[in-house]
Amino acid sequence: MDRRSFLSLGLGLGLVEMTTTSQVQAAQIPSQPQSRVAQSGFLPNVPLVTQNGEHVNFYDDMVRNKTILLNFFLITCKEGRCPVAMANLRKVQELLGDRMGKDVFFLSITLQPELDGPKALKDYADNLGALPGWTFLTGKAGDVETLRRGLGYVDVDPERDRDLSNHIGMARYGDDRLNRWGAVSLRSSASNIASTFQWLSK
Amino acid sequence: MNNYEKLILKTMDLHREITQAKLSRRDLLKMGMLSATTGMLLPIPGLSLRSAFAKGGNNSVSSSVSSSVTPGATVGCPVPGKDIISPPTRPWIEELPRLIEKQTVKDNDPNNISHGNGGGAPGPDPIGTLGGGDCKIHILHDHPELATATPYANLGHQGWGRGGQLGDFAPKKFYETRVKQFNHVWHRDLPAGTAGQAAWGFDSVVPGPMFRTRYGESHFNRIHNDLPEGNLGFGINQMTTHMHNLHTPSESDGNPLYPNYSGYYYDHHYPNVYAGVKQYGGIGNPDEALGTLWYHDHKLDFTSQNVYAGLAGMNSIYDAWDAYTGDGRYNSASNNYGKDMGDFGDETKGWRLPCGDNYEFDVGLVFHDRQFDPNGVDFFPLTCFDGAIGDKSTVNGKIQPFMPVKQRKYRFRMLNMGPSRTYQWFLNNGAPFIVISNDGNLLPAPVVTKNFKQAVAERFDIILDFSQYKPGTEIILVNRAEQVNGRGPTGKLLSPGFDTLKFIVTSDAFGTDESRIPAKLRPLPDLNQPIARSRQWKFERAGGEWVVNGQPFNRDVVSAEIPEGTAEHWTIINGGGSWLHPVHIHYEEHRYLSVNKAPPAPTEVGRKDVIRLDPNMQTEIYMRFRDYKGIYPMHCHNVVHEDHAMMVMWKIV
Ligand SMILES: [Cu+2]
Repeated sequence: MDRRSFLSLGLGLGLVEMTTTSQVQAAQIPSQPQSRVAQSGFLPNVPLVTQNGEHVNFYDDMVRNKTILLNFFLITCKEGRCPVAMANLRKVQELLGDRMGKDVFFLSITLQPELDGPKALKDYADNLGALPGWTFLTGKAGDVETLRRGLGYVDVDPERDRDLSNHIGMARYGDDRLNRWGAVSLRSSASNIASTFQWLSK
Repeated sequence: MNNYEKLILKTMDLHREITQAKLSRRDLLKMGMLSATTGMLLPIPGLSLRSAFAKGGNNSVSSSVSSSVTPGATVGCPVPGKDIISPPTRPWIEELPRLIEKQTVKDNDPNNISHGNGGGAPGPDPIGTLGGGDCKIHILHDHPELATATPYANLGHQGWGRGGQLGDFAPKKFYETRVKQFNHVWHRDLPAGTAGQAAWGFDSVVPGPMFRTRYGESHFNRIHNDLPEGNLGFGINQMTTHMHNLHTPSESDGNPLYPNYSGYYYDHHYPNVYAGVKQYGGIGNPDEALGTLWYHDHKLDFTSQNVYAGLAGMNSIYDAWDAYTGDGRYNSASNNYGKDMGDFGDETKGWRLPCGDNYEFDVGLVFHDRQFDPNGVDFFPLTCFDGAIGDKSTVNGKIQPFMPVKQRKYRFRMLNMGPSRTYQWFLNNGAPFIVISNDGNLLPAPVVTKNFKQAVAERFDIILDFSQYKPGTEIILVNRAEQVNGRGPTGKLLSPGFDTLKFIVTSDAFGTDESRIPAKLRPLPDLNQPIARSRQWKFERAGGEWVVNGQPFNRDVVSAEIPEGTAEHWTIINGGGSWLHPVHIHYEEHRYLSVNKAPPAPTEVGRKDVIRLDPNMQTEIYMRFRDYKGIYPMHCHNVVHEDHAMMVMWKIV
């Protein structure tokens, strides 16, 4: 079974490498250390819709073999941190120059999928000046929630977790080919965010 | 052979049989072979291990919880024991490994240090070319803005080859370290068995080797990053090694912003001077001596993953009184530190703390909280903003090990390596700990306590005296603090707690125990220097982010510029939300002026470098910034918080 099939079963990224690990048991002492594996519920492969109305599977179509930065947002969050975060990202895409849309992709997922449909996302993206390579995603509420939980964008306090105005504003960034993932604050500054892509894949 | 030795042998035989029969703690409890209160094995004549083996399987303490979860489950922050469960492992099967004693390069000759790609022999300035060699050159290439981050534009060594008031502490000891991926066995019961699974380590061990260094004896360490290119999984193959919390010039401190890449090296120079070189001359003020240090990776955004992969080790630093070779009369004015320091291990001199030949009784204990997925594969929650909590406690790289001890005094240097768990330690027989040092720095007098809390990165040196116990006695170090997520202990004391390390008293010979528990140890330096300025730092969760004074980390921001040689009063506040933040300030240690408006606890009266900032706590501290210049961080040492932006940079100018 290939990696894609595993993911479509929703089993998470680690399983393919897990097979490798069970082979370790058979071979007594491996000649070389086994490669490190990533395990977590990272990147559920839920179906989503882009601002252009395209139907995509989150992992397969948006993340696989790419360097990405992802965050959650909502169009109605017009005060405080949200606009700062999105304005910083707008600057980052410019700082990235040629890499944007070729080597680095942004994924912004709405936390209000019922309100933020593809059309609304398209208007929002155009208004913001999003360049190619920056995709805005919505979907069924349950799928977005699965994604949010799987990515850990959850407050341990259930009451605070329900408060959308308090949602987690950090971005995950990473290189799927290396299973390498970090986080950066979108409030920090455009140059701070852009610098992470300078060394990420060295 | 006396009866006790026979008992031990028999117990060991039983251990072996149990290993072969794959019996768990639960099986043993059921069979009446294990005392539930002491965890002691109770040999029962005529018991059929074979029949027990036939039961097989379900043998974890936590096995009543469903183990049907898929690896990583569907939540970003899986709760150990609920969302994710490690495979069962039997306690007291693995023997505690001693930390490997670090050796200098051959003949302590700098010519024997390898140059790497295009590098050169050790020197006070960066060596090599852009194509290879010293990674400071690469850093400056990638980040030219850092050239102005220290007064030394090219990140040369401030304490070597400069002269003037800071002296010239050319290295006297030369070390070389290679950081590699290798296979490590956390416990032989895990599915990977004795083949182990991939880990990262300094000199290919987890934890890394124990350095034993001395005041007045500057040392040099070239750390080669030999991590695999294009590694898969948690961690990044870039690193910067922080020496927590030596009086280290900023260019060698292991700043998060100074990482190097796989295939290159970084040269660290440690002057090994006390704080106050400019003020006191010589090698500074001996009252500022440190003792138990640790080193670990500090790569920006990846510290938690890299340290979890294994990139940490210990360094003990000694001087005449804490090296057991002084005349026994501590007098910081006598200036006789480094002098006449013979071989270590003379327990008849200095403070006569336990040491022994080859440091046999001066033992590093590294506590590392770990989680495995149900298939036994090393697990790190890349998707969790709150912390990384595991259901397996390891000591020196082994799950629930045992340690045979002799009937005498030991000095244990306990380190909480993280990532996110705070311990509260007890001995299962109710005996007290004799705490002599907190965060590596000797207290003015030992403190006797039956339990103590230890947050991430805190160190406690304790003395345990096993002379009072008969051979065969088993004593278990137990963590009773309940903690289910990265927030911190719930406040509930578990009973029973987590059995972590078992001491088994033997009748093995050790000569004479000449060590003592002195009534007084190193005096505390005065706090007479006037305060030049006050600052306030508030650590909290705001808008789902970890922030300091409302701001997430930004590599382009220096949050405070502090004139060298000044003293400041800092207020450190936990902004609430019932989170615990172990706050670490690099460089000089702090002293508590107050903790929640009260005097500090007896174990916290000394010089510390980690503030266990309990929920809603406010502390007032006294800080000094002497000798070297450059940028240093302050950050939460719940390293998952640190990697999610709970850090600021400040600069000595
Ligand atoms: Cu914290």
